[in-house]
Amino acid sequence: MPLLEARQIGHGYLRFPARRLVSLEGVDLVVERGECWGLVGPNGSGKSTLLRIAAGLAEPASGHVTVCGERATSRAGHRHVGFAPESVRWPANLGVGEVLLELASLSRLRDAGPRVDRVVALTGLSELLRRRLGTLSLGQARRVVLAQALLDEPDLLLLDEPFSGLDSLVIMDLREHLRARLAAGAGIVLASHRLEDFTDLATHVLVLRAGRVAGAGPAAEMLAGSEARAGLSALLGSAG
Amino acid sequence: MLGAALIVSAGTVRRMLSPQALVLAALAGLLAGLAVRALPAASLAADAYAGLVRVLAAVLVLPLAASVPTADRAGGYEQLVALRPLSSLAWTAGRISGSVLGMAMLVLLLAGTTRWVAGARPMPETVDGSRMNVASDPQWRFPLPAGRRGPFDLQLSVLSRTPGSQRLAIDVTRGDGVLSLAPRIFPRAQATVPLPDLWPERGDLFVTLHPGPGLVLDDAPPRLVVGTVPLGRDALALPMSACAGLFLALLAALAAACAFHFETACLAGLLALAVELPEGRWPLPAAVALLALIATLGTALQRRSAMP
Repeated sequence: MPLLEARQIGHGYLRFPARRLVSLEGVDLVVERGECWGLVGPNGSGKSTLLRIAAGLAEPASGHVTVCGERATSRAGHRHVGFAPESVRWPANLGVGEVLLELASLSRLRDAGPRVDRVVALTGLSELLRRRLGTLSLGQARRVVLAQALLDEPDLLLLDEPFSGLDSLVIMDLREHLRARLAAGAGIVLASHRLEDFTDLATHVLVLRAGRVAGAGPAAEMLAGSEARAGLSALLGSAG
Repeated sequence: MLGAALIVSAGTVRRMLSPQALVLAALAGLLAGLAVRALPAASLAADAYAGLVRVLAAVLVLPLAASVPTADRAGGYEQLVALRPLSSLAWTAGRISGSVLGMAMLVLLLAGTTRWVAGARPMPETVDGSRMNVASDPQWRFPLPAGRRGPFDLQLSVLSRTPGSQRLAIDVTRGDGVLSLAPRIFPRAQATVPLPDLWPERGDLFVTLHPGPGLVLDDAPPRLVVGTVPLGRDALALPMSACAGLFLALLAALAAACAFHFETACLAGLLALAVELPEGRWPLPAAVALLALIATLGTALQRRSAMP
């Protein structure tokens, strides 16, 4: 059973007066255990929307999504998912440790304290644990977003631009952790507009352009070699 | 469910009681206190205190309560909570209980600061006279609080005066002591006459008024000012009657905030504040239950991005 199975996903927004903007159309994405899919596409191509649908936070207009065989929008489906959106405006007067502990407790983790300590160390937040979230820089706030997604070591990690704004050392630690999660049988969907984010991590690449799949395949084929990269650049560049 | 509700509740309280909100509540209390302190009469101060606390509490608390869910949604934090295995009912219960607790603390801080600032102001302590006869020269009895020493100010008013005949003579009696005050001119419709306490005599003070011809005294009992009392002791009681209205307004704001935007939530709160519930046992519990249901439905729909 695939970790994530999204078939013929369609999604759109209604805009006044009665105009429908299509954000996704006929998108297929199947993630097996140990696979890391890199979602690539220009701004507005539907990467974040696809991640939100996969996380069960938005209903697709057409198609169906399951996570570990459960409906993505169901509580059973949510249990398998760790989601890190591109940005979160945190409650300003809560502390870093406080909010992570709150989310860990809501996840009903028995060892919430040690789990928080572990992700805090992993994301380089140890010295910021008592800082108020409102006083963090963008990169620091980004690390908190990643930390909460890693709290309960989920089967499926959905990461939207996970490395933007992070220090090189933190990126290295994170990549190492993500590789370890893949080796342990987890699946990852990683959206980014920078191809270098996928290096040594992505096993597959899905190219989105204007809400449609412009290309998909193993990373070895899509990214290896200058000719393949030129083809990918052409796919992305022609999105305009 | 209870555990999750408690966690959400604690987080909501923490967010409502931000340092800025606490400073704002204290400042609002300070300004209200200064306004109440400037009022001339205790009854006026009591009315103003209740009104100011009610209005300022609504202005301070309703937007604050509405802002917690709406800011969580706009900032993306609501999504992160929505992925956790807690029911919408527990989530809503936590939001409501946390908001109510936060509101109670802010209102107490506001009302307490107002009372602290205004309450120390000395106000005259008066006792009303009881009429002892039906004669044309009325005698009034004033019970004096123990240990009070004079002179005391007698506050009188007259219904009409004939020019040139405004004289009033007064006899004061306490225990065995009697003192007749020289007749005095009564130049205005209201006057204050200082009376001796006839110390060391004890007991109540009896005052007999002898109005001159053409001077008609008011039937309303005269008052005797026997000392001063801090304004806060009796006049500035917490306006408990406003609590139900504020609670409903908070629930309305919260119910709207769970589903809609910040502005809609504030408007819902203010509308609820303006609505007067019909008397009876059921309207208040029914309104609370309905608003809690709306809040739960809003939370459930929003966690799936099913609301516009």
